[in-house]
Amino acid sequence: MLSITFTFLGLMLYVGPDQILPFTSALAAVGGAIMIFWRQVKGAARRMFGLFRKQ
Amino acid sequence: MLPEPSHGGESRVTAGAVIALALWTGLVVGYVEIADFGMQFLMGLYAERSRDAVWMVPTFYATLFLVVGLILIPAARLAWLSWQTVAGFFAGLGTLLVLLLFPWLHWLASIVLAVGVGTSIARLSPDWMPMVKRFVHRTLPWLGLSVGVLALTTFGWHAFRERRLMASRPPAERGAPNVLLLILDTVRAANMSLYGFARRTTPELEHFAEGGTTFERAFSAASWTTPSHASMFTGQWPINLNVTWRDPLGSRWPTLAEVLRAHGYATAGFVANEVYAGWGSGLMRGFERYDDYPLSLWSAVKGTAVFQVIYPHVRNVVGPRLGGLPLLWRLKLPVTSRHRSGDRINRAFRDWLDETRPSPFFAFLNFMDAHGPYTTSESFRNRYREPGMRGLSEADWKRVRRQPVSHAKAWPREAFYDGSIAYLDSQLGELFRELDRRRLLENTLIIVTADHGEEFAEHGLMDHGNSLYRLSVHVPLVIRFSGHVPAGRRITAPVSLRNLAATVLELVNVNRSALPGRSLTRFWSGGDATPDTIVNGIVKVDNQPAWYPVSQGDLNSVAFDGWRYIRNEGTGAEELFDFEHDVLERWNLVGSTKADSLLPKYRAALAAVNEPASKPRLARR
Repeated sequence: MLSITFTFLGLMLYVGPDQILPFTSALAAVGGAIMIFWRQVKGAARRMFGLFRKQ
Repeated sequence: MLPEPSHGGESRVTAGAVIALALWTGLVVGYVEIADFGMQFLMGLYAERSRDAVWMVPTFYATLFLVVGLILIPAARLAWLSWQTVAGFFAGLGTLLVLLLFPWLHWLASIVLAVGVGTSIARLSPDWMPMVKRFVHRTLPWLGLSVGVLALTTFGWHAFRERRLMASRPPAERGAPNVLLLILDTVRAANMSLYGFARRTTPELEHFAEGGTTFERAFSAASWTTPSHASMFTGQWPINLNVTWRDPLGSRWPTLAEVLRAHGYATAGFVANEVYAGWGSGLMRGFERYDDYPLSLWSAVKGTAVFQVIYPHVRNVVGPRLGGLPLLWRLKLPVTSRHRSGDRINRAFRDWLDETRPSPFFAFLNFMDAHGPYTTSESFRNRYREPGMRGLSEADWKRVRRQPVSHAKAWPREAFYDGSIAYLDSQLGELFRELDRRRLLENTLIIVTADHGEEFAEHGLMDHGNSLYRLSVHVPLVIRFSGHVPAGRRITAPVSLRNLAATVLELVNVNRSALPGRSLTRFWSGGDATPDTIVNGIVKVDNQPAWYPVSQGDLNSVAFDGWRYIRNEGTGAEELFDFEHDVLERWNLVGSTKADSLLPKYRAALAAVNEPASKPRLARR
């Protein structure tokens, strides 16, 4: 497990922050937005799920 | 006294609970940052913080959150904020500060994620709050206690380490001379009046040099701090050291401090370049006392991610406006890269002499006043500033050094650099007078040199460490030792600082074979006075502008018999310069008939020099 972590960290260091910044930032922003609008996201998911079940 | 946890689903905000939560969040944020620091250390990277950061950083964050908490208490009461909202606010703020540690997150994304975490906590059911309060209440004393224990352990370790090393030091030979190595970080020979520069930047050093030998063409082994110091300390060429911007000096090669200590020398280092010559650089080995990061509020604050990320922006926005405010016009916000001044390095050395009365001693002083952004006192900094010349802010300096610039645009910056050298020279004068007052000047071998030079767009580059051009490796070298080194002599033969360790051992008559290199004493003792072969090398970097030569591959160079050859190992690009006449290295002769006949010889020489004993590519400390 530790070696996997270190390999991953090594890869991150090798790739460099500038290269992965757009990807990680987008991921973090989406995660943050989901948390902020959790109720709406949950409601929308429920509605969609209900729609599928009706069909 | 901590507040008692409330029971049931009650979510009223009490001052005690807010303070407890603020302190708790601050300590947790501090420990997360320390975990990141520990990770860097375990991975063998430069530890860019003081050893005291382990307790200073959590203390700083606890204080910061406490202040925020104290501001929040009346606001929470006035606005009838719920306990969940306050907890959400601290959680969001704490998350944001932790996310600042990640260079691969855009600050806007960090804010969105932190707000998300804060909102989620604030939305928790009031039924959860008693449990949260209870948890904070129970764990806070332990967190606080752990900071105290860490502080005591760190202090104890410093003292224990120094005492253990002093106690295990063997007795020295009677009358053994002292050794004082003064390294002027980033001072190039070309800007010193000692070497004929038009501005009178080094009058003190000129006076000092009258009593010793001056080397007119001394070259450092690398164009940045750590590999250059490492080569001076070990007598090794950079290729064998494997020192990079990520890898500090390993324990493979013995150092000058270790050898001298083994012969009874009290050893101490006083370092202004905290990161690249501090404890994390691996240069500390062999020193009983290593004074790098001062124990101060500034040092504590400077080591935190919140400061490093946010403060430069705050300074850029607030700093210029302070001048226009009444009463505050004298207030100057310190630059981020502020370091200990020459005056303070001298004082630390004097205090050590007074405290331990070492005899004999080997002391190493690293002065950083001439390093960008050239932040010496105003009177010196502006000494050569001409009318109409714009000031040089830290932001300007950081921006300009990453862009290709013309010499015409760069030269005004040289005025600030020259002023900084003049300050450094004044501090050397103070130090020499102090040594004379203590009657140490006679029985001390004193070496004044620099670890590398600086470029002012002579090749479109600013700063150092990004190329191997001559101005970034041609450094001053003065050796003075009454009765052992000729006074008032100037040596024109090219010499390498790699041979400094061997020279010191020869002059103080200590185990000459312990470190490699050719002693420079040969220039006055009737030995083989042939010049040194000058070898320089730096390792490729990944996080610098792509147009830097060093971003494209390892750089190596060799100079002898009147020519200097530079090779980029990444691109295979070659440069050949007339070492005797083209001191600015303006005319690359590769492609000429002359070069065609010379290149095979220099390629072979570089290949031979750079063939390491065994490649320690993965060596760690």
